[in-house]
Amino acid sequence: MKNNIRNTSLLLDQWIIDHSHYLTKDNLTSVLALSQLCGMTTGSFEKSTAHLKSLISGANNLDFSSGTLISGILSAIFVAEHGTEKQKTDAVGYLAILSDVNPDTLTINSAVLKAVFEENTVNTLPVETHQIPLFEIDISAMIGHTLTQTEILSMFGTREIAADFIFRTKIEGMAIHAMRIYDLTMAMRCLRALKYIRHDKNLVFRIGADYIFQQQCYDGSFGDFDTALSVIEDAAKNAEIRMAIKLDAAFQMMWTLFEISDSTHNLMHDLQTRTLGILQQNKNASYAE
Amino acid sequence: MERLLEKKEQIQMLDGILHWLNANIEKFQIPIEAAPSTCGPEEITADIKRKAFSELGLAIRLAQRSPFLQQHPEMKKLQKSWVDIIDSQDFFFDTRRRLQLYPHRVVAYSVLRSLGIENDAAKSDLQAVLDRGFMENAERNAWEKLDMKYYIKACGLNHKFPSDEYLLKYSSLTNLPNLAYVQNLDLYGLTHLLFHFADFGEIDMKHFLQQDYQHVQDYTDLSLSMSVVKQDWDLTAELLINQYCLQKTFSEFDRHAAATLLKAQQASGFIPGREWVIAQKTETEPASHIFEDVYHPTIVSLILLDCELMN
Repeated sequence: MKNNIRNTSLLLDQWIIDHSHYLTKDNLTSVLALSQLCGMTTGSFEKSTAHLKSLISGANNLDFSSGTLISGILSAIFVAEHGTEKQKTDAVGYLAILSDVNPDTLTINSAVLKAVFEENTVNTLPVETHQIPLFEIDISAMIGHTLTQTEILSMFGTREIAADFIFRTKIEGMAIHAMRIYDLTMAMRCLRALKYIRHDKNLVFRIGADYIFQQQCYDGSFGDFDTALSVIEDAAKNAEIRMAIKLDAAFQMMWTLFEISDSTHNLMHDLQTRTLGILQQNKNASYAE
Repeated sequence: MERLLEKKEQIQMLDGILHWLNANIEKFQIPIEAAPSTCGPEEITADIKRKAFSELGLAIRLAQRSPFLQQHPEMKKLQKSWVDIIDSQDFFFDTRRRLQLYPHRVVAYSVLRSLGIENDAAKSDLQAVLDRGFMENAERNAWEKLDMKYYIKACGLNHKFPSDEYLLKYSSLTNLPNLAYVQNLDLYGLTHLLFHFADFGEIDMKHFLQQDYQHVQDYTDLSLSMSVVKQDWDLTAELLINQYCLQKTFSEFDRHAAATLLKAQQASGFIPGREWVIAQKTETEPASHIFEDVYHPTIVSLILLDCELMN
Protein backbone atom coordinates (compact mmCIF):
# COMPACT_ATOMS: atom_id res chain seq x y z
CA MET A 1 0.00 0.00 0.00
CA LYS A 2 2.89 2.40 0.72
CA ASN A 3 3.86 2.49 -2.98
CA ASN A 4 0.28 3.17 -3.96
CA ILE A 5 0.10 6.03 -1.46
CA ARG A 6 3.31 7.53 -2.79
CA ASN A 7 2.09 7.37 -6.40
CA THR A 8 -1.28 8.81 -5.39
CA SER A 9 0.43 11.60 -3.55
CA LEU A 10 2.73 12.44 -6.48
CA LEU A 11 -0.25 12.77 -8.81
CA LEU A 12 -2.10 14.96 -6.32
CA ASP A 13 1.02 17.06 -5.83
CA GLN A 14 1.05 17.78 -9.57
CA TRP A 15 -2.70 18.54 -9.61
CA ILE A 16 -2.22 21.28 -7.01
CA ILE A 17 0.50 22.90 -9.11
CA ASP A 18 -1.54 22.57 -12.32
CA HIS A 19 -4.56 24.18 -10.68
CA SER A 20 -2.87 26.92 -8.67
CA HIS A 21 -4.40 29.53 -10.99
CA TYR A 22 -7.75 28.63 -9.43
CA LEU A 23 -6.51 29.57 -5.96
CA THR A 24 -8.37 32.38 -4.31
CA LYS A 25 -8.34 34.04 -0.90
CA ASP A 26 -11.18 31.67 0.08
CA ASN A 27 -9.55 28.38 -0.79
CA LEU A 28 -5.89 29.20 -0.18
CA THR A 29 -5.82 27.87 3.39
CA SER A 30 -7.54 24.66 2.19
CA VAL A 31 -4.73 24.10 -0.31
CA LEU A 32 -2.05 24.89 2.25
CA ALA A 33 -3.75 22.45 4.64
CA LEU A 34 -3.88 19.74 1.99
CA SER A 35 -0.25 20.26 1.10
CA GLN A 36 0.76 20.14 4.77
CA LEU A 37 -1.34 17.02 5.34
CA CYS A 38 0.21 15.22 2.39
CA GLY A 39 3.70 16.37 3.29
CA MET A 40 3.27 15.05 6.84
CA THR A 41 1.61 11.83 5.84
CA THR A 42 3.46 10.79 2.72
CA GLY A 43 6.64 12.82 2.80
CA SER A 44 6.35 13.33 -0.94
CA PHE A 45 4.89 16.75 -1.53
CA GLU A 46 8.02 18.67 -2.31
CA LYS A 47 6.87 20.18 -5.60
CA SER A 48 3.68 21.80 -4.41
CA THR A 49 5.24 22.81 -1.09
CA ALA A 50 7.90 24.81 -2.91
CA HIS A 51 5.28 26.18 -5.29
CA LEU A 52 2.90 27.24 -2.53
CA LYS A 53 5.75 28.70 -0.51
CA SER A 54 6.55 31.11 -3.34
CA LEU A 55 2.83 31.70 -3.99
CA ILE A 56 2.10 32.89 -0.43
CA SER A 57 5.28 34.93 -0.09
CA GLY A 58 3.46 38.04 -1.28
CA ALA A 59 0.20 37.41 0.54
CA ASN A 60 -0.80 39.62 3.43
CA ASN A 61 -3.08 38.60 6.29
CA LEU A 62 -3.65 34.91 5.62
CA ASP A 63 -6.98 33.93 7.15
CA PHE A 64 -6.45 30.63 8.97
CA SER A 65 -10.05 30.55 10.14
CA SER A 66 -11.63 30.68 6.68
CA GLY A 67 -12.12 26.92 6.46
CA THR A 68 -12.55 24.12 8.97
CA LEU A 69 -10.64 24.13 12.23
CA ILE A 70 -8.45 21.20 11.17
CA SER A 71 -7.70 22.97 7.92
CA GLY A 72 -6.82 26.12 9.87
CA ILE A 73 -4.38 24.28 12.14
CA LEU A 74 -2.72 22.50 9.21
CA SER A 75 -2.38 25.67 7.17
CA ALA A 76 -0.95 27.50 10.19
CA ILE A 77 1.65 24.75 10.58
CA PHE A 78 2.50 25.10 6.88
CA VAL A 79 2.93 28.86 7.21
CA ALA A 80 4.84 28.56 10.49
CA GLU A 81 7.36 26.42 8.62
CA HIS A 82 7.37 28.02 5.16
CA GLY A 83 6.00 31.57 5.46
CA THR A 84 7.71 34.96 5.71
CA GLU A 85 8.73 36.17 9.19
CA LYS A 86 5.50 38.20 9.50
CA GLN A 87 3.39 35.27 8.33
CA LYS A 88 5.19 32.91 10.73
CA THR A 89 4.42 35.24 13.64
CA ASP A 90 0.74 35.32 12.62
CA ALA A 91 0.58 31.53 12.30
CA VAL A 92 2.22 30.93 15.69
CA GLY A 93 -0.11 33.51 17.20
CA TYR A 94 -3.12 31.69 15.77
CA LEU A 95 -1.93 28.33 17.15
CA ALA A 96 -1.17 29.95 20.54
CA ILE A 97 -4.71 31.35 20.75
CA LEU A 98 -6.17 27.94 19.94
CA SER A 99 -4.01 26.27 22.57
CA ASP A 100 -5.40 28.65 25.20
CA VAL A 101 -9.04 27.91 24.41
CA ASN A 102 -10.64 25.66 26.98
CA PRO A 103 -13.87 24.38 25.45
CA ASP A 104 -16.41 22.97 27.88
CA THR A 105 -19.06 21.76 25.41
CA LEU A 106 -18.83 18.60 23.35
CA THR A 107 -18.72 19.69 19.74
CA ILE A 108 -16.62 18.62 16.78
CA ASN A 109 -14.41 21.71 17.12
CA SER A 110 -13.93 21.27 20.84
CA ALA A 111 -12.95 17.64 20.17
CA VAL A 112 -10.35 18.84 17.64
CA LEU A 113 -8.95 21.35 20.11
CA LYS A 114 -8.77 18.80 22.91
CA ALA A 115 -7.21 16.20 20.60
CA VAL A 116 -4.51 18.59 19.38
CA PHE A 117 -3.80 20.71 22.44
CA GLU A 118 -4.63 18.60 25.51
CA GLU A 119 -2.91 15.67 27.19
CA ASN A 120 -4.58 12.30 26.53
CA THR A 121 -7.01 10.85 29.03
CA VAL A 122 -9.12 7.73 28.78
CA ASN A 123 -12.77 8.11 27.81
CA THR A 124 -15.57 5.59 27.67
CA LEU A 125 -18.20 5.80 24.96
CA PRO A 126 -21.55 5.82 26.78
CA VAL A 127 -23.85 2.93 25.92
CA GLU A 128 -26.70 5.21 24.81
CA THR A 129 -24.75 6.36 21.77
CA HIS A 130 -25.03 2.79 20.43
CA GLN A 131 -28.78 3.07 20.09
CA ILE A 132 -29.94 3.64 16.54
CA PRO A 133 -33.66 4.25 15.92
CA LEU A 134 -35.54 1.32 14.38
CA PHE A 135 -37.51 3.20 11.75
CA GLU A 136 -35.32 5.98 10.47
CA ILE A 137 -36.27 7.88 7.33
CA ASP A 138 -33.03 9.79 6.93
CA ILE A 139 -30.35 7.11 7.07
CA SER A 140 -27.60 9.60 6.17
CA ALA A 141 -28.54 11.89 9.07
CA MET A 142 -28.55 8.91 11.42
CA ILE A 143 -25.07 7.87 10.22
CA GLY A 144 -23.83 11.46 10.48
CA HIS A 145 -25.03 11.68 14.07
CA THR A 146 -23.38 8.36 15.01
CA LEU A 147 -20.09 9.42 13.42
CA THR A 148 -20.12 12.81 15.14
CA GLN A 149 -20.63 11.11 18.51
CA THR A 150 -17.77 8.71 17.79
CA GLU A 151 -15.43 11.49 16.64
CA ILE A 152 -16.21 13.63 19.66
CA LEU A 153 -15.98 10.90 22.29
CA SER A 154 -12.84 9.34 20.86
CA MET A 155 -11.48 12.82 20.11
CA PHE A 156 -10.60 11.62 16.66
CA GLY A 157 -8.88 8.51 17.89
CA THR A 158 -6.69 10.15 20.52
CA ARG A 159 -8.76 8.68 23.36
CA GLU A 160 -9.59 5.06 23.90
CA ILE A 161 -13.32 4.39 23.86
CA ALA A 162 -15.38 1.29 24.54
CA ALA A 163 -17.29 0.20 21.45
CA ASP A 164 -18.88 -3.24 21.39
CA PHE A 165 -18.90 -5.69 18.49
CA ILE A 166 -22.40 -4.72 17.34
CA PHE A 167 -21.51 -1.04 17.22
CA ARG A 168 -18.24 -1.72 15.36
CA THR A 169 -20.05 -3.94 12.87
CA LYS A 170 -22.66 -1.23 12.24
CA ILE A 171 -19.96 1.33 11.45
CA GLU A 172 -18.59 -1.19 8.92
CA GLY A 173 -22.01 -1.37 7.31
CA MET A 174 -22.27 2.43 7.33
CA ALA A 175 -18.94 2.65 5.47
CA ILE A 176 -20.17 0.34 2.70
CA HIS A 177 -23.51 2.16 2.53
CA ALA A 178 -21.74 5.54 2.20
CA MET A 179 -19.50 4.25 -0.59
CA ARG A 180 -22.49 2.83 -2.44
CA ILE A 181 -24.36 6.15 -2.35
CA TYR A 182 -21.17 8.05 -3.29
CA ASP A 183 -21.04 10.15 -0.14
CA LEU A 184 -17.26 10.42 -0.08
CA THR A 185 -16.98 12.45 3.11
CA MET A 186 -19.28 10.10 4.99
CA ALA A 187 -17.43 7.04 3.68
CA MET A 188 -14.08 8.47 4.77
CA ARG A 189 -15.42 9.44 8.20
CA CYS A 190 -16.71 5.88 8.65
CA LEU A 191 -13.34 4.36 7.76
CA ARG A 192 -11.54 6.66 10.20
CA ALA A 193 -14.18 6.00 12.88
CA LEU A 194 -13.48 2.27 12.50
CA LYS A 195 -9.86 3.05 13.24
CA TYR A 196 -10.83 5.15 16.28
CA ILE A 197 -12.84 2.27 17.75
CA ARG A 198 -10.04 -0.23 17.06
CA HIS A 199 -11.95 -2.29 14.52
CA ASP A 200 -9.87 -5.26 13.51
CA LYS A 201 -11.65 -6.83 10.52
CA ASN A 202 -9.70 -6.43 7.29
CA LEU A 203 -12.26 -6.64 4.50
CA VAL A 204 -13.82 -3.21 5.03
CA PHE A 205 -10.40 -1.52 5.18
CA ARG A 206 -9.29 -3.34 2.00
CA ILE A 207 -12.45 -2.23 0.22
CA GLY A 208 -11.99 1.30 1.61
CA ALA A 209 -8.34 1.65 0.53
CA ASP A 210 -9.16 0.32 -2.93
CA TYR A 211 -12.09 2.75 -3.14
CA ILE A 212 -9.80 5.68 -2.37
CA PHE A 213 -7.24 4.70 -5.00
CA GLN A 214 -10.01 4.17 -7.55
CA GLN A 215 -11.39 7.66 -6.90
CA GLN A 216 -8.25 9.38 -8.14
CA CYS A 217 -8.79 10.90 -11.58
CA TYR A 218 -6.42 11.18 -14.52
CA ASP A 219 -5.37 14.70 -13.48
CA GLY A 220 -4.55 13.63 -9.90
CA SER A 221 -7.66 15.07 -8.21
CA PHE A 222 -10.23 12.93 -6.40
CA GLY A 223 -13.87 12.19 -7.09
CA ASP A 224 -16.23 12.30 -10.08
CA PHE A 225 -18.75 15.11 -9.85
CA ASP A 226 -19.31 15.95 -13.52
CA THR A 227 -23.02 15.16 -13.54
CA ALA A 228 -23.73 17.11 -10.36
CA LEU A 229 -21.70 20.08 -11.62
CA SER A 230 -23.32 20.02 -15.05
CA VAL A 231 -26.23 22.07 -13.67
CA ILE A 232 -23.93 25.05 -13.00
CA GLU A 233 -23.78 26.76 -16.38
CA ASP A 234 -21.54 29.70 -15.50
CA ALA A 235 -18.02 28.47 -16.35
CA ALA A 236 -16.20 30.51 -13.71
CA LYS A 237 -18.65 29.53 -10.98
CA ASN A 238 -18.46 25.90 -12.11
CA ALA A 239 -14.64 25.91 -11.89
CA GLU A 240 -14.71 27.57 -8.48
CA ILE A 241 -17.15 25.04 -7.02
CA ARG A 242 -15.36 22.14 -8.69
CA MET A 243 -12.11 23.25 -7.07
CA ALA A 244 -13.73 23.53 -3.64
CA ILE A 245 -15.32 20.08 -3.91
CA LYS A 246 -12.16 18.47 -5.25
CA LEU A 247 -10.08 20.01 -2.46
CA ASP A 248 -12.50 18.68 0.15
CA ALA A 249 -12.50 15.23 -1.44
CA ALA A 250 -8.70 15.12 -1.66
CA PHE A 251 -8.38 16.20 1.97
CA GLN A 252 -10.79 13.52 3.17
CA MET A 253 -9.16 10.79 1.06
CA MET A 254 -5.56 11.57 2.03
CA TRP A 255 -6.44 11.92 5.72
CA THR A 256 -8.15 8.53 5.65
CA LEU A 257 -5.39 6.88 3.65
CA PHE A 258 -2.89 8.09 6.23
CA GLU A 259 -4.91 6.73 9.15
CA ILE A 260 -5.81 3.34 7.72
CA SER A 261 -2.45 2.57 6.15
CA ASP A 262 -0.72 2.00 9.47
CA SER A 263 -2.16 0.96 12.83
CA THR A 264 -0.04 3.59 14.63
CA HIS A 265 -1.05 6.53 12.42
CA ASN A 266 -3.30 9.24 13.84
CA LEU A 267 -3.48 12.71 12.35
CA MET A 268 -4.48 14.47 15.58
CA HIS A 269 -1.59 12.89 17.40
CA ASP A 270 0.82 14.13 14.75
CA LEU A 271 -0.76 17.58 14.83
CA GLN A 272 -0.24 17.68 18.59
CA THR A 273 3.45 16.83 18.25
CA ARG A 274 3.89 19.38 15.48
CA THR A 275 2.00 22.28 17.12
CA LEU A 276 3.57 21.74 20.51
CA GLY A 277 6.98 21.74 18.81
CA ILE A 278 6.21 25.02 17.03
CA LEU A 279 4.84 26.68 20.16
CA GLN A 280 7.74 25.48 22.30
CA GLN A 281 10.28 26.66 19.73
CA ASN A 282 8.62 30.04 19.66
CA LYS A 283 8.64 30.24 23.45
CA ASN A 284 12.36 29.39 23.53
CA ALA A 285 13.03 32.04 20.90
CA SER A 286 11.14 34.62 23.01
CA TYR A 287 13.19 33.75 26.12
CA ALA A 288 16.38 34.05 24.10
CA GLU A 289 15.44 37.57 23.06
CA MET B 1 -27.62 -26.68 16.06
CA GLU B 2 -27.61 -23.17 17.48
CA ARG B 3 -30.33 -20.65 16.67
CA LEU B 4 -30.57 -16.92 16.04
CA LEU B 5 -33.67 -16.33 18.17
CA GLU B 6 -34.88 -17.64 21.50
CA LYS B 7 -37.74 -20.16 21.28
CA LYS B 8 -40.23 -17.59 22.59
CA GLU B 9 -39.09 -15.08 19.97
CA GLN B 10 -39.32 -17.66 17.19
CA ILE B 11 -42.91 -18.46 18.12
CA GLN B 12 -43.86 -14.80 18.46
CA MET B 13 -42.51 -14.01 15.01
CA LEU B 14 -43.94 -17.18 13.45
CA ASP B 15 -47.43 -16.72 14.86
CA GLY B 16 -47.53 -13.13 13.63
CA ILE B 17 -46.36 -14.02 10.13
CA LEU B 18 -48.71 -17.00 9.73
CA HIS B 19 -51.60 -14.94 11.05
CA TRP B 20 -50.90 -12.17 8.52
CA LEU B 21 -50.44 -14.59 5.60
CA ASN B 22 -53.69 -16.42 6.36
CA ALA B 23 -55.54 -13.14 6.83
CA ASN B 24 -54.24 -11.83 3.51
CA ILE B 25 -54.31 -15.00 1.43
CA GLU B 26 -56.71 -13.44 -1.11
CA LYS B 27 -53.94 -10.98 -2.03
CA PHE B 28 -51.89 -13.97 -3.26
CA GLN B 29 -54.74 -15.04 -5.52
CA ILE B 30 -53.36 -15.54 -9.02
CA PRO B 31 -55.65 -15.15 -12.07
CA ILE B 32 -57.65 -18.10 -13.33
CA GLU B 33 -55.10 -19.44 -15.79
CA ALA B 34 -57.75 -21.09 -17.97
CA ALA B 35 -59.74 -17.87 -18.34
CA PRO B 36 -60.16 -16.74 -21.97
CA SER B 37 -57.07 -14.85 -23.09
CA THR B 38 -56.50 -12.71 -26.17
CA CYS B 39 -52.76 -12.77 -25.45
CA GLY B 40 -50.56 -15.39 -27.08
CA PRO B 41 -49.47 -18.00 -24.49
CA GLU B 42 -45.78 -17.26 -25.10
CA GLU B 43 -46.39 -13.60 -24.22
CA ILE B 44 -47.90 -14.26 -20.78
CA THR B 45 -45.41 -13.23 -18.10
CA ALA B 46 -45.34 -13.61 -14.36
CA ASP B 47 -46.89 -10.58 -12.64
CA ILE B 48 -46.31 -9.70 -9.00
CA LYS B 49 -49.16 -11.93 -7.77
CA ARG B 50 -47.79 -14.98 -9.58
CA LYS B 51 -44.34 -14.22 -8.14
CA ALA B 52 -45.72 -13.71 -4.64
CA PHE B 53 -47.67 -16.95 -4.92
CA SER B 54 -44.56 -18.97 -5.94
CA GLU B 55 -42.49 -17.42 -3.17
CA LEU B 56 -45.15 -18.26 -0.62
CA GLY B 57 -45.03 -21.80 -1.98
CA LEU B 58 -41.29 -21.99 -1.39
CA ALA B 59 -41.75 -21.00 2.27
CA ILE B 60 -44.39 -23.75 2.60
CA ARG B 61 -42.09 -26.29 0.93
CA LEU B 62 -39.19 -25.56 3.30
CA ALA B 63 -41.53 -25.73 6.29
CA GLN B 64 -41.99 -29.42 5.45
CA ARG B 65 -38.44 -30.00 6.71
CA SER B 66 -39.60 -29.11 10.22
CA PRO B 67 -41.88 -31.53 12.11
CA PHE B 68 -42.96 -28.63 14.32
CA LEU B 69 -44.03 -26.52 11.34
CA GLN B 70 -45.66 -29.48 9.58
CA GLN B 71 -48.00 -29.86 12.55
CA HIS B 72 -48.61 -26.15 13.14
CA PRO B 73 -52.37 -25.49 12.64
CA GLU B 74 -51.83 -22.08 11.02
CA MET B 75 -49.22 -23.55 8.68
CA LYS B 76 -51.63 -26.37 7.78
CA LYS B 77 -54.29 -23.79 7.05
CA LEU B 78 -51.89 -21.83 4.85
CA GLN B 79 -50.88 -24.97 2.95
CA LYS B 80 -54.48 -25.86 2.31
CA SER B 81 -55.28 -22.37 1.02
CA TRP B 82 -52.23 -22.47 -1.24
CA VAL B 83 -53.10 -25.88 -2.70
CA ASP B 84 -56.72 -24.76 -3.13
CA ILE B 85 -55.51 -21.83 -5.26
CA ILE B 86 -53.49 -24.24 -7.45
CA ASP B 87 -56.66 -26.23 -8.08
CA SER B 88 -59.20 -23.41 -8.32
CA GLN B 89 -57.07 -21.28 -10.66
CA ASP B 90 -56.03 -24.22 -12.89
CA PHE B 91 -52.40 -23.31 -12.17
CA PHE B 92 -50.74 -25.68 -14.67
CA PHE B 93 -52.96 -24.64 -17.62
CA ASP B 94 -51.14 -24.70 -21.01
CA THR B 95 -47.71 -25.31 -19.48
CA ARG B 96 -46.30 -26.47 -22.82
CA ARG B 97 -46.86 -23.01 -24.37
CA ARG B 98 -46.69 -20.58 -21.44
CA LEU B 99 -42.91 -20.78 -21.29
CA GLN B 100 -42.37 -17.54 -19.41
CA LEU B 101 -44.34 -18.99 -16.51
CA TYR B 102 -42.21 -22.18 -16.53
CA PRO B 103 -39.86 -21.13 -13.66
CA HIS B 104 -42.88 -20.46 -11.41
CA ARG B 105 -44.50 -23.69 -12.39
CA VAL B 106 -41.49 -25.78 -11.41
CA VAL B 107 -41.35 -23.96 -8.08
CA ALA B 108 -45.05 -24.71 -7.53
CA TYR B 109 -44.68 -28.35 -8.57
CA SER B 110 -41.74 -28.78 -6.16
CA VAL B 111 -44.00 -27.43 -3.40
CA LEU B 112 -46.78 -29.90 -4.22
CA ARG B 113 -44.23 -32.71 -4.25
CA SER B 114 -42.95 -31.71 -0.79
CA LEU B 115 -46.57 -32.01 0.39
CA GLY B 116 -46.82 -35.51 -1.06
CA ILE B 117 -49.05 -34.39 -3.93
CA GLU B 118 -48.21 -35.78 -7.36
CA ASN B 119 -49.88 -34.50 -10.52
CA ASP B 120 -48.83 -36.75 -13.39
CA ALA B 121 -50.28 -34.61 -16.15
CA ALA B 122 -48.55 -31.45 -14.90
CA LYS B 123 -45.30 -33.34 -14.40
CA SER B 124 -45.48 -34.79 -17.90
CA ASP B 125 -45.97 -31.29 -19.39
CA LEU B 126 -43.07 -29.88 -17.36
CA GLN B 127 -40.83 -32.73 -18.53
CA ALA B 128 -41.96 -32.30 -22.15
CA VAL B 129 -40.84 -28.66 -22.12
CA LEU B 130 -37.46 -29.68 -20.73
CA ASP B 131 -37.02 -32.42 -23.33
CA ARG B 132 -37.06 -29.85 -26.14
CA GLY B 133 -33.45 -28.91 -25.42
CA PHE B 134 -34.33 -25.26 -24.86
CA MET B 135 -34.55 -24.49 -21.13
CA GLU B 136 -31.06 -25.67 -20.21
CA ASN B 137 -29.41 -24.25 -23.33
CA ALA B 138 -30.94 -20.76 -23.57
CA GLU B 139 -28.39 -18.06 -22.74
CA ARG B 140 -28.72 -17.40 -19.01
CA ASN B 141 -26.23 -16.52 -16.29
CA ALA B 142 -25.19 -18.99 -13.59
CA TRP B 143 -27.63 -17.47 -11.07
CA GLU B 144 -30.65 -17.96 -13.38
CA LYS B 145 -29.55 -21.43 -14.40
CA LEU B 146 -29.00 -22.52 -10.82
CA ASP B 147 -32.37 -21.13 -9.70
CA MET B 148 -34.17 -23.12 -12.37
CA LYS B 149 -32.07 -26.24 -11.96
CA TYR B 150 -32.70 -26.32 -8.21
CA TYR B 151 -36.49 -26.49 -8.59
CA ILE B 152 -36.38 -28.80 -11.60
CA LYS B 153 -34.33 -31.23 -9.51
CA ALA B 154 -36.78 -30.83 -6.63
CA CYS B 155 -39.59 -31.75 -9.06
CA GLY B 156 -37.78 -34.99 -9.90
CA LEU B 157 -37.53 -34.06 -13.60
CA ASN B 158 -34.75 -35.22 -15.92
CA HIS B 159 -32.54 -32.33 -17.05
CA LYS B 160 -29.25 -31.51 -18.72
CA PHE B 161 -28.19 -28.52 -16.65
CA PRO B 162 -24.44 -28.38 -15.84
CA SER B 163 -23.16 -29.65 -12.48
CA ASP B 164 -23.23 -27.32 -9.45
CA GLU B 165 -19.42 -27.30 -9.50
CA TYR B 166 -19.49 -26.02 -13.09
CA LEU B 167 -22.12 -23.37 -12.28
CA LEU B 168 -20.10 -22.27 -9.24
CA LYS B 169 -17.06 -21.68 -11.43
CA TYR B 170 -19.05 -19.33 -13.66
CA SER B 171 -20.94 -17.62 -10.83
CA SER B 172 -19.99 -14.45 -8.98
CA LEU B 173 -19.39 -16.44 -5.77
CA THR B 174 -15.87 -17.23 -6.96
CA ASN B 175 -15.22 -13.61 -7.89
CA LEU B 176 -17.54 -11.40 -5.85
CA PRO B 177 -18.26 -7.88 -7.12
CA ASN B 178 -16.69 -5.04 -5.14
CA LEU B 179 -19.17 -4.21 -2.36
CA ALA B 180 -18.54 -0.48 -2.67
CA TYR B 181 -20.27 -0.46 -6.07
CA VAL B 182 -22.91 -3.21 -5.85
CA GLN B 183 -26.55 -2.57 -6.61
CA ASN B 184 -29.27 -4.37 -4.65
CA LEU B 185 -29.76 -6.76 -7.56
CA ASP B 186 -26.14 -7.92 -7.21
CA LEU B 187 -26.74 -8.70 -3.55
CA TYR B 188 -29.85 -10.70 -4.43
CA GLY B 189 -27.57 -12.60 -6.80
CA LEU B 190 -25.39 -13.52 -3.83
CA THR B 191 -28.33 -14.54 -1.64
CA HIS B 192 -29.95 -16.71 -4.32
CA LEU B 193 -26.71 -18.44 -5.28
CA LEU B 194 -26.18 -19.35 -1.62
CA PHE B 195 -29.81 -20.47 -1.12
CA HIS B 196 -29.71 -22.89 -3.99
CA PHE B 197 -26.13 -24.16 -3.91
CA ALA B 198 -26.59 -24.82 -0.18
CA ASP B 199 -30.16 -26.16 -0.53
CA PHE B 200 -31.05 -23.80 2.33
CA GLY B 201 -28.49 -25.24 4.72
CA GLU B 202 -28.46 -28.90 3.67
CA ILE B 203 -25.12 -28.82 1.82
CA ASP B 204 -21.71 -28.42 3.47
CA MET B 205 -20.68 -25.14 1.85
CA LYS B 206 -17.24 -25.16 3.44
CA HIS B 207 -16.51 -28.26 1.41
CA PHE B 208 -18.33 -26.99 -1.69
CA LEU B 209 -16.76 -23.51 -1.79
CA GLN B 210 -13.36 -24.67 -0.54
CA GLN B 211 -10.81 -21.80 -0.84
CA ASP B 212 -13.58 -19.25 -1.51
CA TYR B 213 -15.55 -20.09 1.64
CA GLN B 214 -13.95 -17.56 4.00
CA HIS B 215 -14.23 -14.66 1.58
CA VAL B 216 -17.89 -15.48 0.86
CA GLN B 217 -18.50 -15.56 4.62
CA ASP B 218 -16.77 -12.21 5.25
CA TYR B 219 -18.60 -10.67 2.29
CA THR B 220 -21.95 -11.96 3.55
CA ASP B 221 -21.23 -10.55 7.03
CA LEU B 222 -20.37 -7.14 5.64
CA SER B 223 -23.45 -7.13 3.38
CA LEU B 224 -25.59 -8.01 6.39
CA SER B 225 -24.26 -5.13 8.48
CA MET B 226 -24.90 -2.76 5.56
CA SER B 227 -28.48 -4.05 5.21
CA VAL B 228 -29.17 -3.58 8.92
CA VAL B 229 -27.84 -0.01 8.75
CA LYS B 230 -30.04 0.68 5.70
CA GLN B 231 -32.97 -0.88 7.58
CA ASP B 232 -33.60 -3.08 4.56
CA TRP B 233 -35.41 -5.92 6.33
CA ASP B 234 -35.91 -7.89 3.12
CA LEU B 235 -32.21 -8.17 2.39
CA THR B 236 -31.44 -8.58 6.09
CA ALA B 237 -33.69 -11.67 6.25
CA GLU B 238 -32.21 -13.12 3.04
CA LEU B 239 -28.65 -12.62 4.31
CA LEU B 240 -29.54 -14.24 7.64
CA ILE B 241 -30.82 -17.27 5.69
CA ASN B 242 -27.41 -17.19 3.99
CA GLN B 243 -25.76 -17.51 7.39
CA TYR B 244 -27.75 -20.74 7.77
CA CYS B 245 -26.68 -21.75 4.26
CA LEU B 246 -23.05 -21.23 5.26
CA GLN B 247 -23.64 -23.21 8.48
CA LYS B 248 -22.04 -20.37 10.36
CA THR B 249 -21.43 -20.21 14.09
CA PHE B 250 -23.65 -17.17 14.60
CA SER B 251 -22.07 -13.96 15.83
CA GLU B 252 -23.53 -11.48 18.29
CA PHE B 253 -24.33 -9.28 15.29
CA ASP B 254 -26.27 -12.05 13.50
CA ARG B 255 -28.45 -12.41 16.62
CA HIS B 256 -28.81 -8.65 16.80
CA ALA B 257 -29.95 -8.55 13.14
CA ALA B 258 -32.54 -11.30 13.78
CA ALA B 259 -33.77 -9.49 16.91
CA THR B 260 -34.11 -6.31 14.83
CA LEU B 261 -36.33 -8.16 12.35
CA LEU B 262 -38.53 -9.23 15.23
CA LYS B 263 -38.71 -5.66 16.51
CA ALA B 264 -39.64 -4.45 13.02
CA GLN B 265 -42.58 -6.88 12.85
CA GLN B 266 -45.90 -5.05 12.97
CA ALA B 267 -48.85 -5.90 15.22
CA SER B 268 -50.76 -7.52 12.36
CA GLY B 269 -47.76 -9.80 11.74
CA PHE B 270 -46.02 -8.57 8.59
CA ILE B 271 -42.41 -7.43 8.30
CA PRO B 272 -42.28 -4.06 6.55
CA GLY B 273 -40.29 -3.03 3.52
CA ARG B 274 -38.60 0.32 3.16
CA GLU B 275 -41.47 1.88 1.18
CA TRP B 276 -43.91 1.06 3.96
CA VAL B 277 -41.65 2.70 6.56
CA ILE B 278 -41.35 5.86 4.47
CA ALA B 279 -45.12 5.93 3.82
CA GLN B 280 -45.87 5.63 7.53
CA LYS B 281 -43.55 8.51 8.37
CA THR B 282 -44.38 10.85 5.54
CA GLU B 283 -48.05 10.40 4.64
CA THR B 284 -50.72 12.07 6.72
CA GLU B 285 -53.13 9.17 6.33
CA PRO B 286 -50.93 6.17 5.61
CA ALA B 287 -52.40 2.99 4.20
CA SER B 288 -52.35 0.13 6.69
CA HIS B 289 -49.64 -1.44 4.52
CA ILE B 290 -48.54 -1.70 0.94
CA PHE B 291 -48.85 -5.36 -0.04
CA GLU B 292 -46.20 -5.19 -2.78
CA ASP B 293 -43.69 -3.79 -0.32
CA VAL B 294 -44.38 -5.96 2.71
CA TYR B 295 -45.20 -9.40 1.34
CA HIS B 296 -41.63 -10.25 0.34
CA PRO B 297 -39.81 -9.41 3.61
CA THR B 298 -42.62 -11.28 5.40
CA ILE B 299 -42.21 -14.43 3.29
CA VAL B 300 -38.41 -14.29 3.49
CA SER B 301 -38.70 -14.00 7.27
CA LEU B 302 -40.90 -17.10 7.25
CA ILE B 303 -38.20 -18.93 5.28
CA LEU B 304 -35.70 -17.79 7.93
CA LEU B 305 -38.00 -19.32 10.55
CA ASP B 306 -38.19 -22.50 8.45
CA CYS B 307 -34.39 -22.69 8.87
CA GLU B 308 -34.63 -21.82 12.58
CA LEU B 309 -37.22 -24.49 13.27
CA MET B 310 -35.72 -27.28 11.15
CA ASN B 311 -34.92 -30.54 12.92
